Parts: sequence; C-alpha cells; structure tokens
Amino acid sequence: MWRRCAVFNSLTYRLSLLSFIVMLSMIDMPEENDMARKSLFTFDRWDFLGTRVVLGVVALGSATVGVVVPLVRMFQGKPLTWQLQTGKTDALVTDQLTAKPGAALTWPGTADVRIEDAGVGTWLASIVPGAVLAVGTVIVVVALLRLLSSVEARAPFAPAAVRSLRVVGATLLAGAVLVTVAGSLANQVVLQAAADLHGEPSTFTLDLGAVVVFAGAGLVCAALAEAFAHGIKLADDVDGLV
Amino acid sequence: MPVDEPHRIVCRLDELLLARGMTLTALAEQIGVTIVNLSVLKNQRAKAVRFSTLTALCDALECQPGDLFVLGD
Repeated sequence: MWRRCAVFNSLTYRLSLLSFIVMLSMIDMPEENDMARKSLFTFDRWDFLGTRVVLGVVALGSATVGVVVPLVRMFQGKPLTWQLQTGKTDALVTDQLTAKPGAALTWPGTADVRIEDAGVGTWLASIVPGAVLAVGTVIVVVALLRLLSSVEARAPFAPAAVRSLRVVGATLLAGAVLVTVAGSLANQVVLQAAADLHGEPSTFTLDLGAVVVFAGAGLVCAALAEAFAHGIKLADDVDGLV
Repeated sequence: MPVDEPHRIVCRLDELLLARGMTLTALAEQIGVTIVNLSVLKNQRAKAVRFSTLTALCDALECQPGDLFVLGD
C-alpha cells in the first residue's frame, strides 16, 4: 500500500512542481500595461485557484492513503496487504503460461501479500512509510501554498518566498531518504511476518531511483530559492525607481 | 560615501512645476510617466531615476538636471 501511495505522490509531486515552474515562467505583465495580452498559458486567478485545489488534494490524499486508511483497516481487523520485495528471484513456474524456446521467464521477487491476523507491530511498521510521506507532503504543500500567495500578490521576491522554497527543498531531500529507508524497513518487518525464509538471510533492498528523483527535485528547489534570494536584491535595487 | 548609505538628493519638481504653472497631471501626460511615479519623485521617495525619464522631465520643464536635483545637507 505504501508503494501505491509513493507512486501517487511521486506523480502528484512532479505535476505540482511542473505546474509551479510553468506558472513562474508565465506570470502576467503588470496590469498598467494596456498592451498585455492573455494567452492560453497565462496564469490567471482560476489557475491559482486550481493549483490550490490540486495541492490540497495531494496533501489530503497522501494523509488519507498513507495513514487514515491503513489505521482504519487495522482497527477493523481487516487483513494487512502489502507489495513485498522478497529480494529473491527464481524461474517463473506457473500453469498459466510457459516460456517459448529461447525465452526465459523469471519471477523478480515481488509478491502481493495478505496477512489475515497481522500483529500491531507489523501494522504500525507498514504504516510508518506512508506516515512519513504524508508529513513530508503536508509540509511541502503548506510551503508551496505560501509561495503561491506571494506570487499571486505580485510580490514573489520576498524573504517568505525564499524560506518556502528552502523548506520544500530540504523536505524533499530529507523525505527522499527517510521514506525510502522507512519503506525498506517496513518491507523487512512484513517479510518476517509473512514468509518463512527457511534459515536463508533476508535481503535489505533500497529503491534508489525514488531517492535520486526526489533528492534532485529538492536540489532544484534549493537552487530556485537562491535565485529568488537574488531577486530580492534586484527588486530592492529598483524599488523607488522612476 | 558608501552607496549603501541613504542619499541626500533633493528633487525640486514641485518648485519647477509652480514656476512654470504646470500641474503634475499635465506633466505626466506630456512625458508618458504615471502620476504615481511622478508623485514618488515629487515627495522625495524616489531612490533612482532612469536617464530616459530625466531627459523627458528636462525637456518638458525646459531645465537642466542640476535645476531638478540638488544635493541636500
């Protein structure tokens, strides 16, 4: 479940950051310029509203999918479901399909697990990655909403905007590592609860792809924060310019 | 004097307007600068002036830059 949550949040993070970058590059001309023309990509008040709605949905969705739903399922006594990374691989043996000559089918070690009577410890361990992701998502969304307000007020180059971008950058950097590690640890806990490894040691797996993507996005936000900080100096230089 | 310190430039726009019998509105329309910006200049709140604006002001008021801006105490 945390993997689905991570994929959902990965897509919405990318969408939110992409829409933000497009928005910053398409800010309207000042209203006193009568020659300004609206285009399809001009960010008007409906786009600001829409962005706020999207960010709100992302935050709520992350908290709901990552924390509320699993907790409700736990208290209702429902089975714990998890997409397990076993760290094992083997030839795929099934009656449903057979490899043709020259081809080989391999099971990559991923399994959909259903534990009917999972202990509280197993449940809580499975919820931790989603909880960490939800907290990080809410922090990022709140910071982005503050930045959005600054941009909408036509005062983007302000210390508050720089702080917001730095918060987003730091959260993405730290969150990338924390969520990945929490997910891997949770995977180990569920693996121990669900499978008998027959004395074989379990393999601790880390999805570095997600770390690289989110850490990269965090670094981009930190760089943007520096650009905005420089913008503050430039805005101050032209403040009072006739 | 370091450039970070406050300036001592005084704008004599209101005196020149009075001497020429011109209103701020008329000047703004003539040179294509907004009344808001001219007001900023007139009320000593300007921090910088574009050369193009200075040229337009001097042309409209038939004066030199030194007539418009003086160094205060």
